[in-house]
Amino acid sequence: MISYMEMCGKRDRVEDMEVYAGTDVVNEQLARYGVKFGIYKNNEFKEQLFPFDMIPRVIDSVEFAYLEKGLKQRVKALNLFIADIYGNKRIIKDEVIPEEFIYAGSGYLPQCEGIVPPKGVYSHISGIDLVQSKDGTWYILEDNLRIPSGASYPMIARSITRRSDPSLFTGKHIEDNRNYADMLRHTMDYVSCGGHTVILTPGRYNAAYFEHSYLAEKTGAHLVSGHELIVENDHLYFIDYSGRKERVGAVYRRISDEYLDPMSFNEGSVIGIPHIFDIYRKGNVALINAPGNGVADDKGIYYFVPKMIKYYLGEEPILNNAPTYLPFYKDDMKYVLEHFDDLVLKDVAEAGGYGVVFGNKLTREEKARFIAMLKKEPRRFIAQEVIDFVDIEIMEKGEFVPRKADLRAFVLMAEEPMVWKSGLTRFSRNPDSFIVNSSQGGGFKDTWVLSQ
Amino acid sequence: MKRLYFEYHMKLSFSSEVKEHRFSLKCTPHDTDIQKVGRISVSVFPDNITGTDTDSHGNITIFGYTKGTHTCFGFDVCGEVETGLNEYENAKDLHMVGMFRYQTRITTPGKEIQEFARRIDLENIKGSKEKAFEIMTFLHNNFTYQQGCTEMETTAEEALTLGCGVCQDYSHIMLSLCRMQSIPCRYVTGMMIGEGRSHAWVEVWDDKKWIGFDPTNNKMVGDEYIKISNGRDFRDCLVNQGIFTGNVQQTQEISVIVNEI
Amino acid sequence: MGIISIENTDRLFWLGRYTERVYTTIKIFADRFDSMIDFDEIEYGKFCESQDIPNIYKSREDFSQKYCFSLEDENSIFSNLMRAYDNAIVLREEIGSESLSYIQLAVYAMNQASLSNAPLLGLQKVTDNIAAFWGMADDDIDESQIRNIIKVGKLIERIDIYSRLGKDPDMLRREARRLSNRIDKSQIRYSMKTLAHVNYLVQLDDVPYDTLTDAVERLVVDTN
Repeated sequence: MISYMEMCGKRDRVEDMEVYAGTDVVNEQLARYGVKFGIYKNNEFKEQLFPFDMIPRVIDSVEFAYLEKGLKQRVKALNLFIADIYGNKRIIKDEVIPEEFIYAGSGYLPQCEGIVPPKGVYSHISGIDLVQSKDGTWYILEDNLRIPSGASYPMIARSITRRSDPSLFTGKHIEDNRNYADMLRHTMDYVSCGGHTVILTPGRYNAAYFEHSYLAEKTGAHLVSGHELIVENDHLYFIDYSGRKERVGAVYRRISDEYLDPMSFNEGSVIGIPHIFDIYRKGNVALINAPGNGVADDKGIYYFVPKMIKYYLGEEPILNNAPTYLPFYKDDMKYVLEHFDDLVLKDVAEAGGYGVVFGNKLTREEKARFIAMLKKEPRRFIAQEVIDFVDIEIMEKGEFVPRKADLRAFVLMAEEPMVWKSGLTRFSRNPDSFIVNSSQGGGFKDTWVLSQ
Repeated sequence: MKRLYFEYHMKLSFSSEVKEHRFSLKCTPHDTDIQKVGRISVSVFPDNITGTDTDSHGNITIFGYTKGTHTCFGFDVCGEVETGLNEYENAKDLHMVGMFRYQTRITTPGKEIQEFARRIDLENIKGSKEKAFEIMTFLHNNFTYQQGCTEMETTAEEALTLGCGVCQDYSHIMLSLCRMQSIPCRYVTGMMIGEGRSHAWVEVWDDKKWIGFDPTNNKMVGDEYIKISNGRDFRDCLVNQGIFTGNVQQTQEISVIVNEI
Repeated sequence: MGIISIENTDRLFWLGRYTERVYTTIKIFADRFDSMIDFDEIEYGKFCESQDIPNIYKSREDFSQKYCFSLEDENSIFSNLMRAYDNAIVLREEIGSESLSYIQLAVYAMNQASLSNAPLLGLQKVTDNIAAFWGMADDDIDESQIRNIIKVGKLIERIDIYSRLGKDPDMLRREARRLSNRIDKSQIRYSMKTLAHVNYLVQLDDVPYDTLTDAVERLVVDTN
């Protein structure tokens, strides 16, 4: 564990820190480039700047090598798991995972049965959320295999901080994280079925629109919306201004499975492309990430990932899950009820920091109501020990203050899994909160991985 | 064993013009262990078939796109099928058919179905086939066949609450009841001798076999049936699915003929 | 990558038009505002009429506040800037983050100007950023077609506004010439007949401004 303070020497006065002067400049630059995310409040779309804190999270090369190994192992196993579930289902047959965690969850899509995506890659872009406890141990908090977002923020923040404060970087041997676009381009090209590569966005009123457009610009892929693509004669085409049809071989889609194709999923979808799923089944277009991936990042499945690693790879997991209990199992239910106040309970169907309940924050009535619900639908919840996260310093009103933070690591899968030597560090602005999601008012930091 | 000739006609009329019409049709029978499809002809109007495929449940899907304006859409399928080649379809192992053990939005039981289920005495019955038979008989005797009482989107719970419905509702309720017993079972769309319309029934998994039950007629599925498609509920077996531009009312006419040759 | 959808050619065209509209209307407003310092009344009624917008303003103060800065007034300069922004924001990968950032900066500058006691200075920052946007777009965008579509939008808007204001025929002739040189390179669909008509009208000694406005508005709408 190393902190920026140790690296650069902590001064008594905030004003003396190298990073201090840069904060406003960088935030101004981020505003200039429109680094925003959208949120809906009272049904109205608003764009918010994503507050940036100049003090980077620093991970030394040895520690990152360890994370890298663990992340590759995990993503490999997750890919094998998805292939197995939509294929031979060995893991169910061998009773490693009870089938109801597959079929009663929302992530499993029967439409994907029997489909092998181009080059056999399911999760091309995985966003794995980690936290570090005070004793330095890293824990996996969540796997995001559907459409994880966030890589664009540290990318652009790095470009801007290097420009606005070059001395900060001089002689510090920091891995350049602006190669994300190249990694992503390679990942998309690797599975392409021939023709153009496009990024499919639901439109500018999506929370992550900035990211969609920025990644399109940086990868040179074409940003499109659903009605600009058309399926004809078993292939996907982009229609240009003159009416000419250009074949599309890979779609990095930033719309969720249920909206992808009104003919196979949600009929009411107006942002999808009719029949794209049919030609995907035939192997004529790559969808990135593959539909149906949700079966592997369900919070209920999370519990089983260490078991998957052993089952598919015959290896011990390098990175651990946060200690988790499944009330579905009798013993675990007993433990959860006995230690209710020490645990955090998560609704497996929710995401983005919603559906998270801390046992000790409930009133007596709320607790009674919650336990009744837990007993009625034990499969719906997981319980986790509250990890004492390491605090990370941020600057607030000219002072350093400790805040909770997590790390979203990005693992891209082409021939082999590749871990991006950076990541999105999100922190909670509220000192009492453990929830770091941008939709809940959190900010972000750059993540420096040292090369030596 | 029988040789059956069938015709399946579907016509959709729109109250005014529509365009940009994309469609997926699951309207052609496929080969199974029970039936072998012989000569078959399919015509779609306006004629714009762009491809065919087999979906994840093994159903033949025809898809296409009509760009120009039109006020009606439909298809005519006719052909010959040899039926009754076997008593059941061979099925995969239990761990491969797990998805058919779980309720869908359409089959999820509510109070009515739960109460109904309690009235069926299955305790001393072993075997999925035998349980399914009991469920079928009980359902047939306690539900009334009546057209116009339910709609296409009616769920099993809603249908049972109404107390009446058609073959689709019988099938959904039976699926719901079997799944409550953890018996894998699937919805089937098809045709039957003597019916002027399409039919629906249920297949139940028992010891690596899919066995057909027709709760509407309270009988086992035999060689007077032609199967078109199967899935978790009717939504996987929609004969016609389409999206188009145009704000219109639509009326569907279906006519089916099945004769023994 | 060299492929542009019909929707994005449309957006590029309107990005050109709206940036020009903001730029030119700020210039015109600045002239009028100057004369307002010496004279009591600004002829905003006549101005509204020439621009074909409803005169909803109660006084000259009301006019200069609302016409510049009100987002509720759909004809305000700010509203037009937001239309430029709405088109630009979805064109990041066509025009690039660098060009786009000047539109973003123009929006920030407009917000600043609306709070300022000296709105003209604030508005100058807006035109600075628009000029920088055009310069950056010209310099930074590889695809000549994209640059040309924006320019065509800009020239059509300029002829439109000049004609509405009854500007000197020589100015109109110059812009019409530039448009004629540019329009084929943009590969935008337009009516050759209407373009010929525009060129004919500007050559007349007594330019029929209303007819010209009408013709230039129809240029990319007509297709024969």
